[in-house]
Amino acid sequence: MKRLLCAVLPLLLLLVGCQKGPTRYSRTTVDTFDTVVQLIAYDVDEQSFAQKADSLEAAWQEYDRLYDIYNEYEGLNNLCTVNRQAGIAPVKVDARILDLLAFGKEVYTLSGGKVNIAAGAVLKLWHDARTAGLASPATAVLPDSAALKEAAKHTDIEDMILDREAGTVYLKDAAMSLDVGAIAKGYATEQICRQAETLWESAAVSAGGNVRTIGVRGDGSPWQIAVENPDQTAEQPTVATVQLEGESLVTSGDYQRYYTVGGVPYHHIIDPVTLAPAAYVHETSVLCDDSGLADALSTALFLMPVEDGKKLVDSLDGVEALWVTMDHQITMTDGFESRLVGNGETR
Amino acid sequence: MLSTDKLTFHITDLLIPAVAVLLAGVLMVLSAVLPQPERREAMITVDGEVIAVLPLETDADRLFELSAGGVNRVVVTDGCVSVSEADCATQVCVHHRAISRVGESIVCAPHGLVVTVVGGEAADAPDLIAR
Amino acid sequence: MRKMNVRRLAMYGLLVALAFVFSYIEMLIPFNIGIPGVKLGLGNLVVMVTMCLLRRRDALVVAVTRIVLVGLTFGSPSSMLYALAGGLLSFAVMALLLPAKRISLYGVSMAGGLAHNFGQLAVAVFATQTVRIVWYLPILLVSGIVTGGLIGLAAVLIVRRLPARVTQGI
Repeated sequence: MKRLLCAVLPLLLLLVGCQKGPTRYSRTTVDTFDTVVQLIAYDVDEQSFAQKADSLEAAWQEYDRLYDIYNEYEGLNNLCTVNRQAGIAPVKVDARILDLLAFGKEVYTLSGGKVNIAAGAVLKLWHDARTAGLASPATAVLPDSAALKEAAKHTDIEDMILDREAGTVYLKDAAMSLDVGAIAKGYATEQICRQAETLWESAAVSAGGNVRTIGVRGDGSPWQIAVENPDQTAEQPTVATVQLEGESLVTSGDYQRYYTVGGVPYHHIIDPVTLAPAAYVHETSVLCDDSGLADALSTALFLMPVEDGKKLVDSLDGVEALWVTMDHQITMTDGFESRLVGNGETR
Repeated sequence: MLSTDKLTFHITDLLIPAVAVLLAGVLMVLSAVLPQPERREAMITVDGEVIAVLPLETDADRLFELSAGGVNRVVVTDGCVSVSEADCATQVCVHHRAISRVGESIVCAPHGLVVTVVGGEAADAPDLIAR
Repeated sequence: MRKMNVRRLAMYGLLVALAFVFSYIEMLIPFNIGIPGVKLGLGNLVVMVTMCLLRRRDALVVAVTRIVLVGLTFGSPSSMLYALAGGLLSFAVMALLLPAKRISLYGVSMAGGLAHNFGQLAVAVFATQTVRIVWYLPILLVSGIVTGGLIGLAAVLIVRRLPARVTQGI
C-alpha cells in the first residue's frame, strides 16, 4: 500500500503542472470623454487580466485629462488651462504635455504644415458650428468665412513656446489655441502600450478606433485588423484586413464626425488652406510601428491629394498606407498590400 | 457499509469510467451532428450593465431613456441593429453603420452605451476594426 | 419539530469545517484547465466518508452547506452556481451507487468525480449558450477518473482506520 502511494503522489504533482495556455480576455470601456477603449489580451486568468486592464484604464483617463481642451480639472494644468492662458502667461505642465506638443511640432514639419496643432482657433469655429448643427439640424449653418479667415491669422505654431527647463508652455498669441485632436489619441495610446508591453506578450488595443497591437495572438498567428468601410450604407463593413505583429493601424475618415447643412455633410478634418473640411479622399489608413505617428500621418494624408500622400509615405521608412478615394476606389502602397490577409507573406 | 467488500477494488468498478466514456462519446457526436440555431442578439449595456437584449430575428424599435440623462433609440430591422436617434453632442453612434455580425459594436461614448452583437459562432471576424 | 440529535449536529459542524478547509487547500493548488470548477475533489472525499459512516442525507447536508459557505467566502454567485450543479449531481450519483453490491468506494468516488465534472459542463454550456464546450469532455473524463480513483483510495484508507465509536449515538 505504501509503495502504491509513493507511485501515485508524484503523479498528482504532474496533474498540478497541468495548465492550459494563456486565455484570451477582452474588455470594452466607455468613458464620458468620448473615448472607447477595446482591449484584448492573453493572460493566465480573469483576475490578472482585470487588474492590468484597470491600470491601463487609469492611465488612459489621466492622458485624457491632460490633453483635454474643453474641460479643466481641479489641481491640474492641462491643455485647456494652456489655451486659457494664451497671451497671458506660461503654464507649468506635466512632462507628458510637453512631450506631446514637441511631437506636434515634429508632425507639423513632417506633414509640410498640414497637421497643425496650433490651428485651434480655426478648428473651434467648425467644432462649435458642428455641435450646434447636430443639436438643432434645422438651423445648422457653416461658420462665418470672415471669422475663419481672421482665426487663420492666429495659427502660427512658432508662437507656441515650449520651455523644457522651466516645464512650461506659453502661447504668445492671445487669440491662438491648441487643438491636438489629430495626434493626441495615437500618441497617448503609444505611450500606454509601451507600458502594456511589460504586462502582456500578446495584446491588441483599439482606443477610439486607433489600433495598436503588442506581439501576436496567443496561438502565434498575427492579429487580424480591419479597416472600416467609409461607406456606412454598404454591405461590407470593412474594406481591407491586414495582419499586424506589434504594429499600429490608424484611420482618418469623414464618416464619423460630421453634421449636415443644406443636405451636404461637413466633417471634422479641416484643410488649413481652404479652411473647410478636406475633400481629397473619404478615408486614409496608416500602418506603422508607432501609434502616434500613424495617427498624425493618417490625418496628414487625409489633407492632401493621393499622389502627394504616396510621395510622403515613400519618403518614410516603415510606413504603409491605404486610401479610399472620393469615388470609393481603394488604392494602397505595395507594402500595405503585402500585409493583407490572404496574401501569404506576413512580413 | 463498512464491509471489506466496499473497501477493495473490483473489476466491476471499471463500469463507471466505461459508462462515462460512452456518455461523453454520445454527447460529442450529438453536438457535432445537431444543427445549431442562429440566435444572434443585440446586447445593450450602459456603463457595463446590461439593460436590454434584443434578438436580431425580431424587428424592434426601442427608446432608451438613461438614468443619467440622455436618450438613445435602438432599432432592429432585417437582422441588423443600429442607433437611429440620440441626443448626444457628437452623433457618432447615429452615424455608425447598422451592425449584424457577432463581435461588431456601436458605441455612444457620451452616454456610456454600447450595443454589441452576441450569440452564435463568431466566424472569421477581424480582432479589431480601425475606424 | 423532530428533536435534533446533538451529537449529529456536532458531527455536521466538524464535517462541514473539514470540507471547508479542504476547499481552501484545493484553491491553493493551481489546477487550471479551462472550465471553472474542475478540481481535485477533496470535498467529495468528505461527502463520501460521511455517506459511509452516517446516512446519505447527512452527506447531502454537509455537501450543500459546504458549497454555500465556500461560495459566500471565496467565490461569486456564478461560482456557487457551478459548484451546486456539480455538487448536487455528484451527490445524487454517489448516493445511488453506494448500496450497489459490485461497486466499491473506488467506483463510487470515480462516479462522483465524473458526475461533478459533467454537472459543471452542463452549466457552462447553458450559461455561455455555446455547445462547443462539449469538446472539453475528454479532459474532464480523464481528470474525473484519475482524481476520482485517488479520492476513492483516500476514502478507503480513512474508513478503514476510523474506530466505530466515532459514529456512536448519532
